[in-house]
Amino acid sequence: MRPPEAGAPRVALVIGAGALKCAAAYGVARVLQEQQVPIARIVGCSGGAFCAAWLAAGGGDAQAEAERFAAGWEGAFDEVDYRAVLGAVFPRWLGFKPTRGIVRDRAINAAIAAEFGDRRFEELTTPLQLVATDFETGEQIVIASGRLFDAIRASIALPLILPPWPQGGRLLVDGAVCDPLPVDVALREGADIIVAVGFESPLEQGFHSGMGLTRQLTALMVNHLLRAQYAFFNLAHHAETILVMPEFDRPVGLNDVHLVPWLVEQGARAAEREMPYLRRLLETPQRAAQMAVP
Amino acid sequence: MAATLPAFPPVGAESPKVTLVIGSGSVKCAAALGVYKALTDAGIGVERVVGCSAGAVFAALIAFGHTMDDARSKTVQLWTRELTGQRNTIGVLRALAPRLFGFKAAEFSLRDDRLLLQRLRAGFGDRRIEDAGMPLHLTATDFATGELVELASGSLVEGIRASLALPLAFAPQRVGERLLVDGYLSDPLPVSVAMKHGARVIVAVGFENPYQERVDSAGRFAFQLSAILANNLLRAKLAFHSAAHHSEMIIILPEFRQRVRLFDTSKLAYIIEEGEQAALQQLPYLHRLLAEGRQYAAA
Repeated sequence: MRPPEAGAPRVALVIGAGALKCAAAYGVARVLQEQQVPIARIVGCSGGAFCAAWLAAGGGDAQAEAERFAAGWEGAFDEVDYRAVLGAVFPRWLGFKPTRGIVRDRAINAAIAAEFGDRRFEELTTPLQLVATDFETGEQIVIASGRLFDAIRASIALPLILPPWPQGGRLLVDGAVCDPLPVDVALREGADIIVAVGFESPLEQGFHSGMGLTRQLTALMVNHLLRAQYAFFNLAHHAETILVMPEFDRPVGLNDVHLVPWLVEQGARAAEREMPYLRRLLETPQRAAQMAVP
Repeated sequence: MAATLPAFPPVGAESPKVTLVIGSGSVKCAAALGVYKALTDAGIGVERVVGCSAGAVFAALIAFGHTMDDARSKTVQLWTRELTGQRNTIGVLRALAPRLFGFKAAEFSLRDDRLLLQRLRAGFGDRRIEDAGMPLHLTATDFATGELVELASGSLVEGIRASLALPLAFAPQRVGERLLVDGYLSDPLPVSVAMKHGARVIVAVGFENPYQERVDSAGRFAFQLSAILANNLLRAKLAFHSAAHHSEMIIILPEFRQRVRLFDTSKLAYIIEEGEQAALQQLPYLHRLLAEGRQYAAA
C-alpha cells in the first residue's frame, strides 16, 4: 500500500460492520491498491476489522487474503454451545452467563490467531482504530493499542451469537451495536477524504425461530443506526466522504462462504464506480484541503 | 362527553402553537402530560401530536382532550404488571422447539396480548385516529422493510397496539396489508414526522433506555442489546435533525433521579412533575422562538 506524501490530502479508509458481507472490503482494497491511493489511516468495525487490520499491516494480494478470510470463516459458527443455550432457556436452573454466546468461539478465535498471531497495533505500518461496544454502558470503545487479536475479537462479537469479549475490566460486544460505520472516528483523528465502506443488512422474509426473529430486529435497528449516523456526519462535517456501499441482490448469511468470490467482485465494482471522483479529489489537493476547512 | 372536556385553560385560535412529539419510554412517557400542562399553562397551544410506542398512549390521551385526572386514571388502569404477565404458552414452546410447534414470525409472542387489547378498548373504545381533536400521528415499524410507518387514520386501539408491539413480548400487529412492530425500532423519537408535516416549532419529549442492572437471562441480554441500539439511534437521529435544522426543535429529555421501573405507575405523579419541571426550564426559549415566528409572519 502506498504511504501518503507530505502535504497530500489525508485519506482515511473506514470499513464498517457486515459479518460475512465484509469480504467485499477486499474487493475495495484491491482497487485502492491497484490505483495506488495513499491511505493515511484505517478504521474498522466488526467483520470489517479483519480487512482493516490486514491493510494496516501492509496489505498485499487482496484476492488471496479474501480466500484466507473465507477459509477462517468456514464452519466458524457451526459449533453450538448447548450448555449456553440451555442456560438461556432455563436461567434459574442452569444459570445464564452473559459471557457466553450460542456458538463456541474456538473456531473464530483460531482463525483470528492464524492471521494475526501476537501482532500488536504498534507494529502496523498504517495507524488503525477498531471499534467495539461496552455492553454495560453502551459506549463506543475505540481500540488502537495492544494485541490485534483482542481488538478484532471484541469488535466482531456478533450479538447473541458469539460470546462478548472481556477486556480491560469491560465486557465488549460488536462495534455494530453503537457505530456500524465509524466515520466519526476518522473525523476525530483528522482526515480530508474519507472512503467509507458500509453494508446494510437486507431483511429476511422467512425465518423459523425466535433467534432468527431477534437477529432480524437487530439488523433492522443497525440499518437505521447506520443511516442516521452517516446522515449526521455527512451533514455536520466538511471532510469529503465517499460512501462505497456494495449492493447485494441476495441475502448473505453467516455460513454463505461460497459467496465470497462474488462478494469481492461486488466490492471491487462499487469501488471502481467511486474512483473517478476520488481521483479528482486527490489530484486537486488544494481544493480538497479547502473543502476540509470547517 | 364529559370525560373528554379539557381541564386545561382554553388556548385561543391566534395563540402560538407547537407540535408535540412523544418518544418511546414505557411508563416514563407520562412525563409528556406534565410537558403538555406546562405548555397550556403558559398559553402555548399544541397543534399536532406524534407518539411512538408507549408515547402513543399519551399522544392519544392529549389529542382526544382527556383531562389530567382522567389521563392519570386511564394510565393506572392500563399499565399494570399483569399486562406482560400473561405467558403465551404456545409462543414459549414455539421459541424452544420451532420445528415441532411451528414458528410463524407474524404470530410469534412470548406474552399473550388479550389483556392489553381489552384494556386499550376499555380506555379508547372504537375511536378512530382521525377523529382526535387535533391531528394525531402514531408511529410503528414495517416488519418486512424496517421502514417507519405513520398512522394518522384508522382504529385508535389498533394503532396504539401496533406502535407498542414490543418485539418478542407481543406479536406484530397487522394493519391493512402491513405487519407492524414497535415504532422505537425505526425511530425512538420520531421528530421527522413532525417535520414532514411542516412543523415550525417542535417540542420533543424523549427518553433514553435504562441499562440492565444485571444481565442474568437471555431476555435481559436481548433487552440490553436493543437498549444500546435504541439509545444510539435516538442520539444519531436527534443530532441529524438538529444539524439539518429544518424546524426549531426543543428537546426535553427528562432525567429521573428516582429509578422508574417498567410498571411504576405508583410514581406517576412524580413522573408527570418531572416532565412539567423539565418543560418549565425550556419556556423562556420557547417564548422567544414563538415571538420570532410572529414577527416573521407579520413581516
